[in-house]
Parts: sequence; C-alpha cells; structure tokens
Amino acid sequence: MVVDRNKEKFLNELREYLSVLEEQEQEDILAEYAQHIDMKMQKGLSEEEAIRDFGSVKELAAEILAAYHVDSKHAMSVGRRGIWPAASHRYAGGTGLQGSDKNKNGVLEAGVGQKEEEVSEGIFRRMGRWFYQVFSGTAKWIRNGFDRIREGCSQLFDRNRELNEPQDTLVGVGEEGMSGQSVGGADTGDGFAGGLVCDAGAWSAEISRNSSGGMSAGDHGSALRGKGGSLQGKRKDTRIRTKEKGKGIMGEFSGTIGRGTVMVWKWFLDCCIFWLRLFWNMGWLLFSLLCAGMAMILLMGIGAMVVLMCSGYSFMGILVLGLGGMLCFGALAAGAFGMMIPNKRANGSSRKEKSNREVHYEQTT
Amino acid sequence: MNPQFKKGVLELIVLESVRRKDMYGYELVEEVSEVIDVNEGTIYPLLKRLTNEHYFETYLRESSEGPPRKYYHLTAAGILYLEKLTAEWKEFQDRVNGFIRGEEES
Repeated sequence: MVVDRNKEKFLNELREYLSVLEEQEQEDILAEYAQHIDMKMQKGLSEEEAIRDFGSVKELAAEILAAYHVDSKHAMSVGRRGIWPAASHRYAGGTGLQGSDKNKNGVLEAGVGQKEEEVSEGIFRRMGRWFYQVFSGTAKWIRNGFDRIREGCSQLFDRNRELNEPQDTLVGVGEEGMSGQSVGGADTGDGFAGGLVCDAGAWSAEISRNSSGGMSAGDHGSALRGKGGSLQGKRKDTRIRTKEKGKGIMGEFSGTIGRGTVMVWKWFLDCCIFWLRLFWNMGWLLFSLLCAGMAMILLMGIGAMVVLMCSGYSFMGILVLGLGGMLCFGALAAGAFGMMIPNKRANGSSRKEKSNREVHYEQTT
Repeated sequence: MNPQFKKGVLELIVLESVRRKDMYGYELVEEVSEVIDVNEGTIYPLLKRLTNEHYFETYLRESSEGPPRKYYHLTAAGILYLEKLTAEWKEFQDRVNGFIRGEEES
C-alpha cells in the first residue's frame, strides 16, 4: 500500500509540472513512466528504488517540457500554481495502458484548477455583460432623451401648424372619414368662407349651436346635431379659432408671417438636430468600428494562440486575456453601435397617418 | 563520464539502438545504460522529442508479461538524421582526436 502511494505521488507531481501539455500527451508520458516503474518492480526492485532512479521530478519534468519546446521554467511555475484544469487533475492509479486499474480507481478527477478557470472565465463574461449593459443602457437613455426632445419640438410645431392650418385640411380629413355625410355650408357673410364642407364627426351639435349665428342652414345644424360629439372640446375650440383667425387681410398677413417664422425656426432646429445627430452618429460609428477592429484583431490573436497551444506552447493566460479583451471590445462595439440615433423622419410621417387614423376611428365610432 | 559528453551522444546512441531493432522504452533504457551511465528519466523525454520530430514512430504490441508495450521504430527521416549525426560525430571525433594527438606529439 505504501508503495502504491509513492508511485501515485510521483506521477501526480509529474503531472502537475506537465499540466501545460495536452491531456493526451500527459497520459502518454505518465503511462510510460508508470510502465517503467512496474517493469523495474518485476525485476525485483522496490518502487522507491525505481522512482529514485529517475532523480528529481522537477528536473525530469523540465527535460520533458524541453522536448516539447516549452519554456520549462514558466510552464512549471504555472503548472504548480494549478491555474489550468489539468494542473489539478489527480493521477488515480493505472498506467494508461492498464485498463483494469483505470476502471477500478477512476482515471481522473477534476480539481480546483478547473473551478478557478470557470470562475475567471465567469468574471470576464460578467465584465463583458456589465459593459454591454452599461453602454446599451446609456445609449437607450440618450436615444430616448433625443426622441423626447424631438417629439416635444414636433408637438410644438404641430400645434402651431394646427393653428394656421387651412380649412381644406380639415375637409380632407372629414371627407376621408365620413364620405356621404358631408354637408354644404352656406355663405354667411361674417367671415366663414362659402363652401365649407364638414362632416358630422368633426362638427358636433355644440359647434353647430355655438356658430348657429353664422350658419344659415338650420336644417344642416339639426342634421349634424344627432351625429356629433365625438371630438373633444379642445379640438373644436382650436378649429373655431382657426376660422376666426382667418378673418380679414391683416389676419391672413399675420398668419403668413407667423407660418413663415415657424417654418424658418423649424428648419433651423431641424438643421441643428440633423447636424448634431450626424456628428453624434459619426463619432459612435467610428468608435464602434475601432472597437470592432480591435475585437477582430484579438480574435485573430486568439486563433494564433490556439494554434500555438496545439503545438505545445503555454499561452493559456494570454488566451484568456485575449478572450476577455475580445468580449469587452465586442460589447463596446455593440454598445457604441446602439448609441447611434436612427432617422425618425419616416416614423414622423407614419405618426401623422396614425393620428389621422385615430381621428377617423373616433369619428366613425 | 562528463554529463555534457553524455548529453551530446545520447541522441545518437538512442537512434542507433532503435535502428538496429524496434524497442520499447524500458528495453531502450537498458540498452543505452549499457553504453553510457545515464539517468533513466532522461531517455523518455528524448524519445518523446524524437517522436514529435517524426524521427520515430510508435506502435503498441501485446506482451505476455503485462500490458501492451509501446515500441519505437526509426522512420526514413530518422535514418537520414542518424546518418547526419553519425557523420558529424565522426568528424567531431576525428578533429578532437587529431587535436589531442597533435598536442601529444608536440
């Protein structure tokens, strides 16, 4: 029993030093040494004697590593620390060629090293995820801010436009919404233009009552009275004001000036937003490309490391670092790409259509 | 014997031993130990290196005394390498011997 432990100890120690080599290579070497010890024992030597003939395990491991063109000093210091999973595999008997021993004792047990690697990999992954979340969150936050500013500006301009909106726009909506229920208005002579066409949905009974003095067709008012009431009071008031604003030459002139000012102001703001967004997007795009480039370079480096590791070089640490770096740069690239603000012009038009559809729905219901 | 000398000729002896006959590790260690007194442990790394450099190829052969044994066989590349090493060794030996003889004569 004591003899077995010595052999096991020797092989475990040797395995620790050779941990930078591939698993198969380690098994191969250890099997040879185990067989050598067994054969010496068959010749009558004790196991201690057989092991003693090998000399120092460290020197032996250095020679083996030199045969693989591996920097033995570095590899053995790394191997003894047990950073790599194989470093803490325990040799549990058997020579690799002795199948019965392997089955009896179990071949290998995963050691602490593997857990350490999992932990270190987890840290990198978590860091990468954290970076991604922070950057994507910031990007989303800034994008939402821009959206709100833009929406606020758009609402402001829409309101102004609504105030200066010509009447035929309303007619268009009404005709689209309630064809067949339009009513022709009469010339009233007090500011209402002739040929006013409105639908029952757009004009409630209340409006009819409010403007009854201006509307000559009382039966039309009664006809509308029964079907109206779907639009809210605010909109009604706005439209009434529109009509009142349109009165006279001065009114038209001031309306034109107001419209022009608003248009110029809007154009200026649009330009500002456009250039701001352009610079913002260009900056993030460049940063994203830079990060993506770095990630690609690291990926290539990792590939090279893997090839070198297959050849027996100990680049595991650099490989893990490269992997972490690649993940970080990838996350940065993704985050930076997410920071870019898309053009919402198409969405703006669709929003208008949507609001029109809503009006139509309200009118029909 | 000077360990540096042993280190220099160990490769040549191992290659020559395997050229004569395919051998397994322990057998080879015994064979080499008859020529020079060498640490047993150093033979296996050398075998590994020569195998990695394709001078040797290995195969398993069943044994009546225990588990299958891994035999080493010299490849064509190994033969060429052995010839090169032998030539170098002879040249080296001649030069050193000549130098020593010259010293003795003078």
